[in-house]
Amino acid sequence: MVMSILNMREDYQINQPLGFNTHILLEALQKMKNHEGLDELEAATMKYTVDFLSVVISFCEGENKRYMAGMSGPEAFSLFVRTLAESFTLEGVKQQAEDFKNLLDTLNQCGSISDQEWNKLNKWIHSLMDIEYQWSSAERFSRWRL
Amino acid sequence: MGILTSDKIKEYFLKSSDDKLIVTPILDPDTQLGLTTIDLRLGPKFKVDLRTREPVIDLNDERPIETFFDHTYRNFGERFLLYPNQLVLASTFEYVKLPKDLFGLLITRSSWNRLGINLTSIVQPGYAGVLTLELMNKSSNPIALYVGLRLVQLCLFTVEGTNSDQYITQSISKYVAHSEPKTSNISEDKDIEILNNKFRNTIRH
Amino acid sequence: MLTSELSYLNGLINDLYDFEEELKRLSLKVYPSPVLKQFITKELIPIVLNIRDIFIKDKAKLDEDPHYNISAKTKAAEIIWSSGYLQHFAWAISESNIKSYPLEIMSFFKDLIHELDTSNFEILAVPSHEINFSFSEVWLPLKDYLEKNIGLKSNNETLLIKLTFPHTHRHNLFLSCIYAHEIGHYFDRRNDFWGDIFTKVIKDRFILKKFKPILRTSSDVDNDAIRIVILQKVLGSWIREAIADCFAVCLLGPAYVYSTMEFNIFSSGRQQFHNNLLMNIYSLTHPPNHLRNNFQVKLLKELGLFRVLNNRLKNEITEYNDQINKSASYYRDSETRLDLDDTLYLVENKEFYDVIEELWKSTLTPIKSRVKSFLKNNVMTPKQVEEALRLAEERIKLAVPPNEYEGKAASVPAILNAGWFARLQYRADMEKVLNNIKGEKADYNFLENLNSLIRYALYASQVHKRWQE
Repeated sequence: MVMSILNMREDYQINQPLGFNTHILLEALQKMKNHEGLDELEAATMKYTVDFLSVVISFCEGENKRYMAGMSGPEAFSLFVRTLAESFTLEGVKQQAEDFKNLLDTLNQCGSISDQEWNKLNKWIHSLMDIEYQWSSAERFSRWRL
Repeated sequence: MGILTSDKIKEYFLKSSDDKLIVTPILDPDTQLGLTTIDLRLGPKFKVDLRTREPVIDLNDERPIETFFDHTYRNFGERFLLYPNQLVLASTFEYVKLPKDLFGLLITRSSWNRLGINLTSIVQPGYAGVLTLELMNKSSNPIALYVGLRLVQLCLFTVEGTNSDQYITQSISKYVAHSEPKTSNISEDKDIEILNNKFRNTIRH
Repeated sequence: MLTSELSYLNGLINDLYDFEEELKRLSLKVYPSPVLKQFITKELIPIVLNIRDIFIKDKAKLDEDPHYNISAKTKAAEIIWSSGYLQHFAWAISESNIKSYPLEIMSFFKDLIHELDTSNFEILAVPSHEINFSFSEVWLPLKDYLEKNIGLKSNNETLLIKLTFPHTHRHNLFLSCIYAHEIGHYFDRRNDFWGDIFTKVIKDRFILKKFKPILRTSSDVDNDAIRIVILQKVLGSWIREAIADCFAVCLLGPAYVYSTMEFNIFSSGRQQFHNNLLMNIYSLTHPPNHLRNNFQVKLLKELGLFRVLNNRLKNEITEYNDQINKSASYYRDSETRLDLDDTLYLVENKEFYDVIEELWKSTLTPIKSRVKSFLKNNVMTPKQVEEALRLAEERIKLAVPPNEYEGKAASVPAILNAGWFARLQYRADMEKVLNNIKGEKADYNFLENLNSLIRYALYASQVHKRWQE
């Protein structure tokens, strides 16, 4: 507390990792598109991504659900908003999260979505990758040498 | 000067402010209060003597005596090994405050004496703090001590005479409300200054 | 040497060999905690081996085929390694120091965690050279992260709670009341109080509309989603501070208020010293001091802890409260302080400040009720303040540690408060008893003596309590 009172740095670092890996997610989606089976981690990553979107949707509906240790609904919402290409109203954000969730569900069940939908999903995942890369490059854990 | 019996000790516990004898906390009064003694327990902090690169304790050196010791602690009930011929400064768990008319003699309980740990130390009138224990194992085997065991006993004597006020002042200024073992403050001894000034630095051949 | 995927991968693999060696050395050093040793040998080293194996497999494929595409799992593992998360975890273990541990005060908080959270935990006490206190669990997020990102599972549910504290102030119990604030953050994180409270507040859309424009971008963005992102950062942080303050006041009562006053005097005093200006400015992570102090004092009164203080002790609080309220400079106009992205800037102004303040104030009642119901009978009582008043007068004033009260172990909140009460009231009396309170070090020695007595009392009372149980 003491330092944080003195410390007036107010940068907005991304201080939470995503609860899934975007590279694994992309590979899983690619496999589903190609009708290949997923390994355990890929299947789990699909679930984690859907969970993440569900937490965002719940938050938009006024309910706080915890996504993972150290990430609550409002934080998941903020991360999600930062991956969107346009700015939206709260309802718009919820709609986007639902859309992505539906696309993932469809892909999971049928193994195919339209090219337009695929591009949309792909673009979103690349935004998530940026977030993930920023998080891992933030040098937040600076004193790491033993 | 007479030794205080348990009745007298209890009377001193009930006196008010400056005249009061304080030994706190006495976890188990039934076993700790003897006929003429108060058993005291081993505290959790230890200062263990070290072998160092400049291994001479010399009052004329500026090196603090504290640097010849390493600090450690054990939780209540935890074991501390005392090796043969090793000096360890520990303290009583209890905090003691003597009124100006009492003088204390601190000695190891006989069962520990027979294992090779024996210490004797005096407690000045007016002293306030935990009592430092200079532990030395004189047997040839390491001895396991446990924090919280009754290790020493305090005998109390009344002080006779009229200059006890001055005595208290000196005593308190040296030992102030310590809550952990205290290393020797021999380096504050004025005698060394006198010896240096009057003799050592002006040796007459 | 060419910059290539292969050479980078080689570098990573070598780093991991180094790290493994360091961990092995560290496992021999982590005396005396077998739990920490096990964390290194059973958790950290296998994690390192696992990540290294992922890299080695891809390296073999790259050796065979220079056009091989690095696998997603290797990229995931690289992110874990580059984030420094693992290394930080190991660093915290390597820096933990049992000899500099603020043993006496921590026993109280350990008991609290044991009672209210879990008994399966270990404290990593990490001394810092900064005046920095923090209290956070470091294992579960890492474990969760590893499982979700590379599928590495662990059954180890032991919490590793990292406690950072200023080495030079480790025995300063007047400052250590701040641990009660930090443990509030810990319980909040574990239970997500702030997330629930924030989400409820945000449901009221009307108030969101009250701050505009709050953003200045190349294209005009003015919508609730962006507002919520800003509020999550600013109001979210302010709510977390209020929750932590609420925990601290409920646990330690006046002692915590005095502690924060002392620290604030130090930080405001520094500003005055250099700028000749007493400022009370808010930050994006903390409400202004006057709001916090008002909240603390109001809570103190609601808990009945203020009315039992004597006038001297009350005045200390009310005078400071008056002063800090007079010195308030509530907001500042600024355009670029909260940099969300390259394109979004928060414009701070009075409208923004007013909305944050209003929203924050609306959270205080739910905060108090959540914290009090969580703490159950650990909320300090007026009786404990009375106990503290007597301990100060009947014991500390006479250089006797305040560890016993009416033949029983004194309570920790009462002991810490007794320390403050003695400090504020009995200096002259203690000067008569302790002869070292004189000369240029008089003030320092006075505080050292008090600290020594309180430290002893904290330890002895906790042993005494367990003995009597």
